[in-house]
Amino acid sequence: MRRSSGQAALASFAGLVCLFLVLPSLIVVPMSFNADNLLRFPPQGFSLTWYQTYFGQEDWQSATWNSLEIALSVTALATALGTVAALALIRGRIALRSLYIYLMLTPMIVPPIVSAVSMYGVFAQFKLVGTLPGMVLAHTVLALPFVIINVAAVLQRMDWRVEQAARSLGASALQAFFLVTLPLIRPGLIVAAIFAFITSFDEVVVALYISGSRAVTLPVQMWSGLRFEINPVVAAVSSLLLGLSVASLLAIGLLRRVATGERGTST
Amino acid sequence: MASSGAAPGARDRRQARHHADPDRRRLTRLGLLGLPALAFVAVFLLYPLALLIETSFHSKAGDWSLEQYARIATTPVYGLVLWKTAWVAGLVTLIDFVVGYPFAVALTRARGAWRLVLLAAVLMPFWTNLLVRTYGWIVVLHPNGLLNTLLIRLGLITEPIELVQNTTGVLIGMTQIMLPYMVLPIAAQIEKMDRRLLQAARSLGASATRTFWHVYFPLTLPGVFAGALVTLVLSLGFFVIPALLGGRRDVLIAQLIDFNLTKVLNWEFAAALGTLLLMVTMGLFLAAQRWFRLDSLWTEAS
Amino acid sequence: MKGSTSGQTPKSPTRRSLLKGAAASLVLAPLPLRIARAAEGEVVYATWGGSWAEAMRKAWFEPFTQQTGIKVRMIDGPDYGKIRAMVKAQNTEWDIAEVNPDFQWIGPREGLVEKLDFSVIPTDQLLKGENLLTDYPLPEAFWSRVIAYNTKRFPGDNHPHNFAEFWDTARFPGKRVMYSKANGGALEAALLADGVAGDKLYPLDVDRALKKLDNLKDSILWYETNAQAVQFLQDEQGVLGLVADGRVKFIQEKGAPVAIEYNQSQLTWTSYVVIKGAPNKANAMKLLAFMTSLDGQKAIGTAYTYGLVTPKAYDMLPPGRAEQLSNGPQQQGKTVLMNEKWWGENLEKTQEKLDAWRLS
Repeated sequence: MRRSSGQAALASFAGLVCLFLVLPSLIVVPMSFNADNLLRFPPQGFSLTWYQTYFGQEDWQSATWNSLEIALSVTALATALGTVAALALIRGRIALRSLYIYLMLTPMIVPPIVSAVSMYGVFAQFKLVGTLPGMVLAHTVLALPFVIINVAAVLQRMDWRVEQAARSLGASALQAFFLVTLPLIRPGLIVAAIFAFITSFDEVVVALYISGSRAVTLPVQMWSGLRFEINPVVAAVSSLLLGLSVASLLAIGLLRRVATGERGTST
Repeated sequence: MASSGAAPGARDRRQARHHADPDRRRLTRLGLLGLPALAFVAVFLLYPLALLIETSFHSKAGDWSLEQYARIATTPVYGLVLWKTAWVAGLVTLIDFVVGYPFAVALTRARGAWRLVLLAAVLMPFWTNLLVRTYGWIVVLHPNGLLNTLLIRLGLITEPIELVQNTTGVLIGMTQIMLPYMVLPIAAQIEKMDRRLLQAARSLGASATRTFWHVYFPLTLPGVFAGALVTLVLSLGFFVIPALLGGRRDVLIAQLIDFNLTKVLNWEFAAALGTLLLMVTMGLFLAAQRWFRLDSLWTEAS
Repeated sequence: MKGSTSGQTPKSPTRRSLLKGAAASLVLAPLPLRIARAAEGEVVYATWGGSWAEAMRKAWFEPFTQQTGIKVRMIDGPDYGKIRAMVKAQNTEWDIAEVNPDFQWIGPREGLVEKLDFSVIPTDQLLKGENLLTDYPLPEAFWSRVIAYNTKRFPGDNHPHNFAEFWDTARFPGKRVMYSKANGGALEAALLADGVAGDKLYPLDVDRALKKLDNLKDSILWYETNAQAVQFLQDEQGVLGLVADGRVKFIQEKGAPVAIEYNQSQLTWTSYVVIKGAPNKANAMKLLAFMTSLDGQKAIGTAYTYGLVTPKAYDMLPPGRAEQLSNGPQQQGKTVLMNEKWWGENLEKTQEKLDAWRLS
């Protein structure tokens, strides 16, 4: 009896927290249908103007594509670099280990505005400002600590003997890594990749500087739409992103179910 | 490998080292895998930061000087702001832990559709632009807004409570933004936990509560520390939320840096403030390392 | 899992598709076109955007392009930090930037602006006034901060008519919105409320102003952006405010219950500057001349409610329009001119004092 009441308490607590997490984001959805040029709740009138504006205007569309391209590239690059670094950290010998860790965590520690402005000068010198590769590089630096932390945590809990066993059975180091270790740390890798993607996709401060005028990302576009006067297209975009995230989570859930079914193990 | 009964001499030690060498070499090679990432960060962030720090040691006129730091030390407002920033960040971390830990447990316990719902809830803040979320909070929290209206209708309060344009608003906003950073590492850690340890404890007669505090909770600690560290450190650099949800008293260090950097263009001074913030954060990190054995996160797997 | 002949466990579909997608996007990501900087017939204009940018496009940029063939490309966000970073990196991407008047002094001091070419830009029609015109900036538009009040709470004549009344929380209870930046008018308002004459404000007695602000402390809602200010008024979280007139008019049109009291309005302006190392300097000077011509001013006056910089152009407007603009006839004799030169030199120290006060 105690157990189920404990479970009920936990469940209702989780429900409240869910509400806390989603309320502001959800509230924006009805506001995106507001007929006039203000952010109102409850909205007055019903209009799809802002959605039309989003899909119709060149600058919103190109900003969206830029954000996607950049975020995907960052995910690949940061996950690869970060996983390899986490391996080195947990499994290998690194001279001045603590120093290495502090240095690798710097992108996370430094306030975004400081990173942004200091990066700007150097990036401008390398002629990387206002370019997609420049944005990818900047965001990868920001995403690396998150990848490393997550992958390191998972590597640390993993039972290394499984990989050792594979090695002793004749697998090369690379084979053992890809065929044994990698599948085992998959949950951690997925979390790391998600963090990397989100770090890039939602990032606004560094993007404000490095995106220049030719690699404008979605958050930058939205930021401009909120400083001078409120542009409800921002609300429309948010609602679309929300829909997209829900859809993609469903997709991931389905994919995992398929993968789990095949392999017959959980996670 | 002593060949006689005498104590191992130099030759024996050398032999011992030689036998251990292949392993060392392999581990060191493995360690070299860490170089690409380091080079990346070094070129694209550390070098720019070094330039910025170097700037902080100059006067406006361009010569080498400590006057920026002297100004920080002698003008009380900066100490106050730093203190306030640290206090808010610490509080956000604490609240996020209290709220996030049970939520992480619930997340890992949930099955099927519920798990997706909870996961979606955690990731949802990421999908809404920061500014929009902040405006969303204003709509929910302000005196004529959703929450107050609801509470009044339910008869729980008679007068609207001030939930925004003050520190409360800042805490609410920041807690929400940071929650995923706290929840996800803890959840990942719980997932990887060896359930048999729990079963063993129960079978040895431990009650559910004891099992939790003595087995479950300690096993999740690396995830907790990871989450807490990320939350604390990120909170120190925030300025959007305090600026929009805060009140008269809510002036945090990042706002001052932004002001000097972008409004009055005193980069030498902004660089000094930024360097100071960096040192404070590094200090916190080192302290966490020492007191909470955070390095358990980084030590080689046994 | 007995099917696979190769003996390989499948990688997670998510990760594989991510890798593929990322590789593809890296390959396909268009490298920046190394467009020759001095693109024929272009001016890059950094603006605060929004409806103001739309108005400029209609009133200035499209006619300018028609007349000269030079295109105007607008960029959002004339951030001073970016300007500095650009110039220091010798990578100036913008030609003209809209700035607050404090930049008229900050800009040259930091070496960030080009001197104007007065052989191309005529200045005889410009409003003569202290500090309006120096070697570097041209005034762009006038605007003022005004007392805005909620018409439901304070209907008709029952609203504050000056700052002394604005300070009266007994007679006019409720929150007042004010800009958190030191040169946002709050200090001037405090001094005016304390009885200082409009033309004797500068140099500001900051300590006196802060003392006066103490009386209003708990009733102030500080805002960081104009958009926020307007939101507060519209949601009626703030019932009084010291806000930009154009913004108040904007929500008035949307039906928000606010109105303007012009007495003691604080007049200021925005400027344009040409950034050092501008890629299209000559074109920029031409555009500036166009915008400040009488015809250009008439066009912008018809399109937006900011004040014109050439007084004669007010007479060229359709009847009734002049009253809609900042510094129009309805405001004459009621304004206090902000001393932007003082602010250019004292912003930093004053902000420090204001922040200290806020934390107390």
